[in-house]
Amino acid sequence: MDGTSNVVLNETDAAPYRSDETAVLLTGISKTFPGVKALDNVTFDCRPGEVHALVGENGSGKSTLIKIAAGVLTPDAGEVYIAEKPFSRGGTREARRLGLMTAYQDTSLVAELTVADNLALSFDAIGQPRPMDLSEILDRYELPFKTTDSVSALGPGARQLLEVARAMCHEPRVLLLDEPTAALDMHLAAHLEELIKQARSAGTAIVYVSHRLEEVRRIADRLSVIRDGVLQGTYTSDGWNVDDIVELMVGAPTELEFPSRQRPSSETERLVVRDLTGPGYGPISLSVRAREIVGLAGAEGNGQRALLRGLIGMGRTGGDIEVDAKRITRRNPVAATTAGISFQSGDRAAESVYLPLSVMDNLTLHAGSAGGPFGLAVFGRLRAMFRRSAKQFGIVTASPFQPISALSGGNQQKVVLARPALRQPKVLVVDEPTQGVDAKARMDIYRMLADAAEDGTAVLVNSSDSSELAGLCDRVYVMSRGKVTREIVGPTSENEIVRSFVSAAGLAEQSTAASNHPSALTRLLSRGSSQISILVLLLLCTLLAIYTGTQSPVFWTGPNLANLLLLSLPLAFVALGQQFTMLTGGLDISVGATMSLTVVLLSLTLPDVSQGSLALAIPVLILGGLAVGGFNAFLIGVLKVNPIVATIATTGIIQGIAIILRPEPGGLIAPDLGESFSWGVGFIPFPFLVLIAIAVALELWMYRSHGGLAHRAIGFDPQASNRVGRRVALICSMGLVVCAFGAVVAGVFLASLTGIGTNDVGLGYALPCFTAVFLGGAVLSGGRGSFVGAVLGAIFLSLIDNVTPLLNLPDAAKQTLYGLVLFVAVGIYAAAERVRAGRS
Amino acid sequence: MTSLVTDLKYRFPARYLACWGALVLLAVIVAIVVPVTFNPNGIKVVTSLAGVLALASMGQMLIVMLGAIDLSVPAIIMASAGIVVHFGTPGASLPPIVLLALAVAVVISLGNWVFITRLGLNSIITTLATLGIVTGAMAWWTGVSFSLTGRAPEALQTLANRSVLNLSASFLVALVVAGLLALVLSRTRGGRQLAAIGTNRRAARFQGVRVVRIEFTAFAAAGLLYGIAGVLVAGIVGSPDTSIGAPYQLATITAVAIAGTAFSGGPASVASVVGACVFLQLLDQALTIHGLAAGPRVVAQGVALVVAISAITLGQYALSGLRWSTRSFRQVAGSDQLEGLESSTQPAKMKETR
Repeated sequence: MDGTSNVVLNETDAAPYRSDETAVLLTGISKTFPGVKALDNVTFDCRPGEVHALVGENGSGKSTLIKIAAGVLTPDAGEVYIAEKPFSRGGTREARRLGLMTAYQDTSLVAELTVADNLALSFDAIGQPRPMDLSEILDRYELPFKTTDSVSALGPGARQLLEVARAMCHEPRVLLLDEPTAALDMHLAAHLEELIKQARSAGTAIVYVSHRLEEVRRIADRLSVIRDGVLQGTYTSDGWNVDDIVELMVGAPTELEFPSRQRPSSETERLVVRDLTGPGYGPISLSVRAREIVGLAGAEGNGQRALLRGLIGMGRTGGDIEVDAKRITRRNPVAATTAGISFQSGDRAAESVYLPLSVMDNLTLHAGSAGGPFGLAVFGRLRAMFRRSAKQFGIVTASPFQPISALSGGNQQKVVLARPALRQPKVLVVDEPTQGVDAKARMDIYRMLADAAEDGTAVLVNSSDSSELAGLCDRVYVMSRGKVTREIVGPTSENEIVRSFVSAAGLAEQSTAASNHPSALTRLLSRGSSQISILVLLLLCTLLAIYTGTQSPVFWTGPNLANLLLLSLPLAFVALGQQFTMLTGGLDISVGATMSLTVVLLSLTLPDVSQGSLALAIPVLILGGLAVGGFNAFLIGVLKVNPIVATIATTGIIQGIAIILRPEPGGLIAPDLGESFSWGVGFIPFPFLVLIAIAVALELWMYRSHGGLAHRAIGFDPQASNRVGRRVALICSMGLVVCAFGAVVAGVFLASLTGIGTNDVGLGYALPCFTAVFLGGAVLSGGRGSFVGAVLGAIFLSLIDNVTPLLNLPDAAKQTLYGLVLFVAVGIYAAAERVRAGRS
Repeated sequence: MTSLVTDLKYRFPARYLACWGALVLLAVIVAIVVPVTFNPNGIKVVTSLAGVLALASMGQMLIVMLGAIDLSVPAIIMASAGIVVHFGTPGASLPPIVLLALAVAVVISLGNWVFITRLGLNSIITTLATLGIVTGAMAWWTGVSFSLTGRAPEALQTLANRSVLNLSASFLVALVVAGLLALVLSRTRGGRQLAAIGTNRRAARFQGVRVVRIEFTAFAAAGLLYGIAGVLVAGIVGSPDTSIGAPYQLATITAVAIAGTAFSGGPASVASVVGACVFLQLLDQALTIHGLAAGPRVVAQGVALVVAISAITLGQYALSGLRWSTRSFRQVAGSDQLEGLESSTQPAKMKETR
């Protein structure tokens, strides 16, 4: 590998391709999110055959800019041109079709699919033919895994490499790389650099987002700096030095002023940790004294985050924690908090703030008994508490009752770190205290941590910013591969810390190839879950049928079996429709009402099977299905209503319309309809054969076709599917329409059974419909399921329906049985899912 | 002065006030078009059913605040009404029967609690299954009319049909309960933490909130509220049957939506829920008196739900504008904000089960 890449390197340096036309041009781009101006009038371009680097701190707006160029986000103002063609509202699909490919930092891969499926998805989405041999792509980019590997089994480094290679294999005009080396070790990063240089010499325009300036220096032809959404300037490769660029990025002199502190004199150890172990770390022993600030350093992903969560009992498997020499016996956050450990995460949206709640609530919710006696929260006390903290820590807000989501990242973080001050914890554990925080708020936050230590608290800080640790901490533990490899005592420097963890054991990701091999059980579960549910259902049906056969002589007669199959048709068709929309993560509760409406409509339009009445009935039913499905899609897709609530609302409306059209049962439905359906081969009715054919065809479609792949991908990960250019909203809407049509067809069969227009005849089908689909192996989160399984589920439920009278069970028992079966099925599959998630 | 106005604006946001506006508007229209609705007897009818609906909706509200949804309300209401009728034969003492009915309601709701919060099953599936099991089991055990006579105890009927200043007993009970619930939710630590769990369960756990205890209490309280609603509706109707709970599935969800509660979980306003219930019942009563049959009334309720939720969701997204997005197709609400709001750190892979 080294030999060939050297040759390429020389070529690149000798004759870089140059042109004056722009491959991608963004002019006057502005974008505002609630509470944040992410980009302000940014103009940026990249020419064919150049690497244009974009550097900036976290939250400076660089990812937003990339997402606008890629079509993921729509700018509030400004234009995007790809190959000098304007492109502003076309979305990711249009951008990719124009030749702009993006490799996202958090990737656009669907983890549950294989490498081959992910590659194929990318070609399908923009209408390019799939290459005959997908593994050739892996060979071309020297990727160390197979096309049959599941992406979830790849390490983060391998995923990132795959993401970049997949963008490159389309031979794009423009390549956007967002932090492509964030998860790579040095060896793979070097490999990636070669790939980038090859693409550049082939004339690709490459926008390279990074914060590793050394890397940028090696490969960038031009460099632009962005800070707080404003472009600070653009430099050619030889016109800049690292210090100037860092100053531009940070917006303040690089020498941040850390609060001056006395070296702690106390020798009492407040926090003592012995042999702590958990997922990805351990055994770890450390201690923090009162008044001391101790840092935790290491390359991203060496177990620091998991260790901190282990300190409050989350995911800890062994070891002891003592606070003031008292051992914490129970492993949960309640016990840790009671013992005096306060943990504040830097991942604010996910684990620390309550975005819709007010600033005051966010601050005072965990103030404990300071809020009032007997578990009360006395308003006056909370308000006084808030005023004190706001003043002390400089929290800027329009009103204490303003939702915290409207505040800037720095202000939110100040609220978070003001929480422990209200409870005076013995130990304060802080994860990434200054991520996404501007330079000024950073100073305030350092002051807050120093003040906490001053008051006697033992402070433990994890940070990926080593300069922060150097400036703030009395001691620093360096972590590598889940273990503490070094302890740096006394004043230190950023360089010393970084050197210690870089030299410690290489970087986090040593083997980036398929690092965690899934066990045989996991493979079986993930590949065969739909087949397992099919087998289980077949077995259950057989057992129930055999048992009933021994109890009742009627069961194995032709008429009874024919009746059983006929009665299963409505449920089977409505279940097929439901499974279709659930494949893309949809859900429709209104199917039962749609069936009722169909019966009512048929009672109005189909008194006999004549051409005249069919000519009326069929268009009416098609319009009905379109209207219901379209209305659901409108509510969910356009108005963004929660799907459950939306389809419950639709249920009400459809049900009401059915009642209006048929207040009382009445209106004969052509008896010929029922007779024509019961005709068939032996005791098997003809429509049942059609049903089986449709189910098998859909099953094949799901696994073999481009469309089926797209549906599964969207079900698993709509965001990734959208990023590769699949039209997620459209496909999801179509799923809802198909579901409504399934219910209409089911309604037709139901009508042939009832023979009369009744406005509530379909209502009872909502519960068994979901039961059937879940029995078949579908999951509410989408992506998984089986059409054959759904039909078998429907048959099983119809079998229960059929045998209850034969076994002399009362009719009411049926509903109870349905409910119980649903519980058991969902419970078992949920447990299987947990096993799978736990192992992969 | 201005800061007071700003405070009020944030403390009483438009989404909580909308149902009161709608109620006033409806009252004015009804007073002009069908004034007969407001005669003493009309008010009594509206308030008696609105009281039952308000009790059930407050239960639904507690579940929705946790980010779940309860489709089993009809079954729980029916079960408690059924128990009162089944055991309330002439001569039986009322209090133990009522206590039993309430206990059964609490137990069923706690069954939902186990499956939803402890085993992490989806709330729709769980409550749909509970609905089937309980409905079937009651019909199996007691038959459609619960007992031979099918009549609720006389004492209960008299009690439920009492009224003070034309406000029915059930409405007064609902008001007292609403007052207590509002106080608990806003003035106790546990109550405030309920909304916090609904918005960000993971953060609440990290801060040492006793999540299990609070969720348990919320589900038990919801069951209790459904139970009270069931007992009262048995008394009001006199001879209920197994379909007595049916309207309360759509109606409670509609009321909670109109009251401005977000279905992704989080804070809610008890007062607005009561207002929304009065609105729905007044609308229904006025349409009935105006001569509309059951069908159009159900449609009206469905339309009210659509309008309410669309208005609220559109209000929430007003800043980001009307744009097709993939997000709302998912049931996973909460922390996965619109793409593009740059998360401050790597996205948390550990997802909290709900």
